[in-house]
Amino acid sequence: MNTFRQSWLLNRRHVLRGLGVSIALPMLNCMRPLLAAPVAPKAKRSVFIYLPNGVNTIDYQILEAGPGYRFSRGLKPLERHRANITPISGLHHPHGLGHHHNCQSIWLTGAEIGQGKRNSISLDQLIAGKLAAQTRFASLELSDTGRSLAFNGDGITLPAETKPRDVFRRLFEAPAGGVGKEREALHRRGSVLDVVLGEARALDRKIGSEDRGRLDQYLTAVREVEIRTARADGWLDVPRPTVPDPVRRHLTRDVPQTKPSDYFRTFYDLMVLALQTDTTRVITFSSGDEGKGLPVPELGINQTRHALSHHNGDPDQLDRLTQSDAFNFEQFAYFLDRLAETRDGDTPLLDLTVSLYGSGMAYGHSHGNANLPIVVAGGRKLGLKHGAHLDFNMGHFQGYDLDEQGSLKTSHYQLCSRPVNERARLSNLLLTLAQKMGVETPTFGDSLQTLSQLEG
Amino acid sequence: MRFACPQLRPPPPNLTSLMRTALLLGLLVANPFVTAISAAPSSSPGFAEAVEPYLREHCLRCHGPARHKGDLRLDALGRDFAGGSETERWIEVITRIGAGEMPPEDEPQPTAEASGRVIEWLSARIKEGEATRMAKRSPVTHYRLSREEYSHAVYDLLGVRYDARAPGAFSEDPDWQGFERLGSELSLSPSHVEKYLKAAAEIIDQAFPDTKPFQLKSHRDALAIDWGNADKRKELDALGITPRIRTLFWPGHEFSYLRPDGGYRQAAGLYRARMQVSGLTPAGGRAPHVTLFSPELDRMIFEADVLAPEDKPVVLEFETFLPAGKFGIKMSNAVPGPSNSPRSGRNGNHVFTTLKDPKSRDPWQRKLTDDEGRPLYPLLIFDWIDWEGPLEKPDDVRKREGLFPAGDKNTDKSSAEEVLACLTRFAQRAWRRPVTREEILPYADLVTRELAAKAPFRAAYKTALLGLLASKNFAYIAEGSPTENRAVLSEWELASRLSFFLWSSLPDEKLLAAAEDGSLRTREGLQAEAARMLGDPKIARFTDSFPRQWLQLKKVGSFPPDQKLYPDYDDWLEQSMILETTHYFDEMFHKNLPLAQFLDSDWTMLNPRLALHYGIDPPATAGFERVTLRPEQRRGGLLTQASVLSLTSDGTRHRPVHRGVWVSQVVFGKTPPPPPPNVNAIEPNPVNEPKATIRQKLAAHKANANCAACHAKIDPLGLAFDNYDAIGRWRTHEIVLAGKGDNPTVDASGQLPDGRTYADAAQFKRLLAARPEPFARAFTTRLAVYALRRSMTLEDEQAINLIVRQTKSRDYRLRDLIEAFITSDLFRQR
Repeated sequence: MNTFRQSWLLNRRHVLRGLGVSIALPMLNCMRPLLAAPVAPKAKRSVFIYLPNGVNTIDYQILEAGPGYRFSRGLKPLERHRANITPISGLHHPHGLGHHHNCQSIWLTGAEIGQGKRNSISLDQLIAGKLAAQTRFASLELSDTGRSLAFNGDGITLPAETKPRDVFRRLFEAPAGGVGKEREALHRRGSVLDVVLGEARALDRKIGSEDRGRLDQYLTAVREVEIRTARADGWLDVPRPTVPDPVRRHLTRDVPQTKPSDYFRTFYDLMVLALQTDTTRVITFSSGDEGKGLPVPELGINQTRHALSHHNGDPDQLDRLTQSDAFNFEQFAYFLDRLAETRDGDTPLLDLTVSLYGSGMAYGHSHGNANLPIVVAGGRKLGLKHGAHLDFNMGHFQGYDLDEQGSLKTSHYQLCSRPVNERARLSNLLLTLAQKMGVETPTFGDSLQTLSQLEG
Repeated sequence: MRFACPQLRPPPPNLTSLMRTALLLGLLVANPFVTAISAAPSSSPGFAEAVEPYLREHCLRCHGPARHKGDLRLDALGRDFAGGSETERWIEVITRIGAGEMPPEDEPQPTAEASGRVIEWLSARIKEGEATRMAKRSPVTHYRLSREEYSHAVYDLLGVRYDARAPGAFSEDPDWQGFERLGSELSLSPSHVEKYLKAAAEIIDQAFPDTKPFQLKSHRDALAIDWGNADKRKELDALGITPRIRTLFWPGHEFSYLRPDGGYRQAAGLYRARMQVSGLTPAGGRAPHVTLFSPELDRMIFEADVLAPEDKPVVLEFETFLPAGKFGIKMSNAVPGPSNSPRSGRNGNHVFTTLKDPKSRDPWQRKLTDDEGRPLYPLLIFDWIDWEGPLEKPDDVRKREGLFPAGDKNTDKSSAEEVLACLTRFAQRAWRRPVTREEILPYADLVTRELAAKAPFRAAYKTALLGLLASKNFAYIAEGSPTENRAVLSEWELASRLSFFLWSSLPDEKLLAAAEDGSLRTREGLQAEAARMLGDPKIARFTDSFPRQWLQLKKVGSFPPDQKLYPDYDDWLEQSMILETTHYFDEMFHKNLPLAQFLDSDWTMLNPRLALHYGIDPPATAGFERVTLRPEQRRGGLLTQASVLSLTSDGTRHRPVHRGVWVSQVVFGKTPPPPPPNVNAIEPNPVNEPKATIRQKLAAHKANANCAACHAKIDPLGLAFDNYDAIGRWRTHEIVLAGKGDNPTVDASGQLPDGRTYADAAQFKRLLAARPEPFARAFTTRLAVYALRRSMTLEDEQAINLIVRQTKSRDYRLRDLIEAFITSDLFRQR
């Protein structure tokens, strides 16, 4: 530790005290270099995975509520995890109704967005904020296009990474120039931040609090980067987990999106590794963008999920949509397989990790955003209970409308476009998950209550 | 994508309880068309006239002085529509009335028209409130640079190219109706600050490298890229064949080794490539298309159609920024063609020399031509590629002069005064205004502190530069001062506004000099600077970026067309569509043409790919050319360009309502309010019913009086283009997937609210072009949004009308209008 570093750290303490920022423990620890980071046993983890453009709701809807339900064709691949999942029907975001493909941006926020209205914090970021100091990376944002599901406290979207290889390198490979060089760069950054922050605060003092406007954003952002820089400095002394060579080779391959099963599974393997090594505890994965949900050439499906979802009743295309749905659920089932076989101590990772899988759209053809396809999986040790189909439509309509063969009639699309149970909000589920992850908050977005049926 | 109001069929019988609700749904949408053309806001009735009678008759019994059901008293609810809690309540009122929930069923019901009028009036006030909120200015207003502006500013400042779109660089900026530079939208997060720091470090290292960058010069011939044959060079040399060897690229074929031969020594910077190729077009087909793409950089390095006979190859030359290090560049002939996957082995014992010698091709490859050697597919033939760089252009080098202390050769140190002087020069250019010694001292201190921590001088000085670029003074355009409340821009602010408007970048030295000597404050001085800047090559940034934002071209391809329905659609077509529109704008600007030619004209800008798409004879050269159109070619103006027709479709179907909304925004400057939430779903076309066009399904709107009230205004603006499919091709029949019978015939006729009728898009465009004034007003408003980085409000309307009137006598010519805008009061005000 050179003298310069000392001065910067002193400086930082001073600045932080001046601002009244409360500092998490590892941040203070960076003054006394951490020698090893013990993996916190039984840490709670959470994963959020988006499926774009809804599903073929006719083939997806489960018809019976409670335990012992029959798996629908679309959901069939998840049957082997029956004991560890809860499919939920009837949820919606009130602000998503009639807002088409915006549903992706508000899936984890529930906010009303549009002209002059900004998004709000997404659930994953709320959790990440709480856990930030515990892991090297507060959260991971993954996506097939670079558009993520994550929004910060100002409602600004965080960028996402699209290539497993790039993510692996960032997470598990030490900086190229070595720790010393990295530390120098961080300290240089710290000094620069001091100066630009001082400059902005000088103006800030002149203009008075009610007129700061966007200068405030800048101040907040720079302060946050200061904290992150100090944290990164602390983590420099903590060695990165050693990854066995075969795993490293597997995760640093160039995986094209034209082979989606390989692409998804590689990402899922990477996510399991990140959770297992406690590199992060919060991950969002937009497995497909509303505009660019991956085709599945290996099944002969060459249309994006958006194109598939605008089927206009074409039976062939509807069948392909169901196949694509089942394909996506199969990949998710693989992720759950991996979580179940991976252990943290003697506990399967699956029991320590809650996954939310689903879409902000139900009936894509007409942009129906009600009765959303949603599955919650894992996380028993967080206090979640599984095994039943939770159906919030029940009691609010006259039952699913079936033809002579027992298939849903197309009138089901109405249920997927306007909610029959206005109190069944997706935010209720998001609130439940927030609390289970240890965020103490009585509400999330427009939530009305928690989902007690899910609580064990 | 918010405007499709999917109320196409009556609700199914088992949802009768929802029927009444559904009947009233259409009411929420205001009457954009009529307001756009006739009603000025000053002539619109006030609250007392427009809303009060309705409230008295239908609402106040339960929500008035006597009772306040739901804690709501409408007679006492404030009339603040600017976005506070009262506004929220009014929005609730509109939604309830619009959804038919209020007044309740057992109360006397208002007519649909009466409810519609009230909703329309309230929506209009709320919209004005929203604009005011977005345009709000504090004593000092900060406008963040967009990532595009950041790149341009860095280049103009230091002569360094920074690719803000590269993977891991800056994320996309949020837009408002296409505009990516609005202060209210361009927020800033911690990840922006982290990226600013990272970018600044790269930029500064590239501008002031510590060691002289490796100068690369490399040559690869046809054999060098053909890895299957490259090891035979000695034999081929011996046979004397090597000089004649070329590489044949059939459709879809690609080779990977096109990158400069510099390995890890390759420095970041600007590189020049020269490449010799031939390109053969089959009779009636499309031209071969060369692409150089880097997967690691996720960037198209270069692409072009190639039109050059086999014996007369062309040399294509381009410059591109490349980062340091090693990465692949693949070359491909990116056109569709026969699949060659079962026989893709190109290395038999055949080395290609000429199509005239069939023996120089593998047997299957001989089928690429007819017996006379004429191409049956678009064929690309490659000879060689040369790379050199990093290029040190004198203009770019000059930009960096005086910004880095020369230092003492022996001690590698510079005097504190020299450091301060260099930092001051840097800051004045980067921050676009004079700076005080007091402002620079903290940065100079950074140097001192770094030196004290034993950093080498160059690194210490660069830390200060890093700070100057990460400072809010670079990242934000600031207008106003903390101590006085002023409405007019200072000369420095005016210089920045002008340069970010026209060049998407910071002012150059001449413009700063005009600010300094005060001449920019005079009308003549401002006019002279504007004229100089409009004539500068950097104006291309405006003629490219403005139309992209104004017309929302970013949406082209955002929902990629369904490959099953549109197998011809490819990336180059998508690019060509966008380029037609930006080239069209560029031509309009340079020829100073009347604005009406945006709406209708007998010309457009075409390249071979787009000409093929339109079924028009392709131009003889590979780039874009101005082409004169005949009426039967059914193009001309913006509205029938494939870009516009695509971005208002959803990749599967054309969307008349989206098209109507787009026309309403762009031509009339009015955005219809979105449809109410909670509408019924469109159920798909039943398989056993006759095929129906989207228009026929939309007719359900007309059957429902309430929906008709709004859709009658929007739909005709979009239905006029029904003869163009989702990727902008002309058609007479609409292809419908499900249903019985033939594909139905298209009907694109209609009537404008003012009574004028049209039979098709051509007549519709003529009607619009005949009365260009509303469009001129809408266009000027959009120009002002772009330049002033905020939404326009009622207060700005007078100033905008004045600019429009000034240019009327010369038919609202594009460049005239821009100049009139720059010298207007509006442009000089905050």
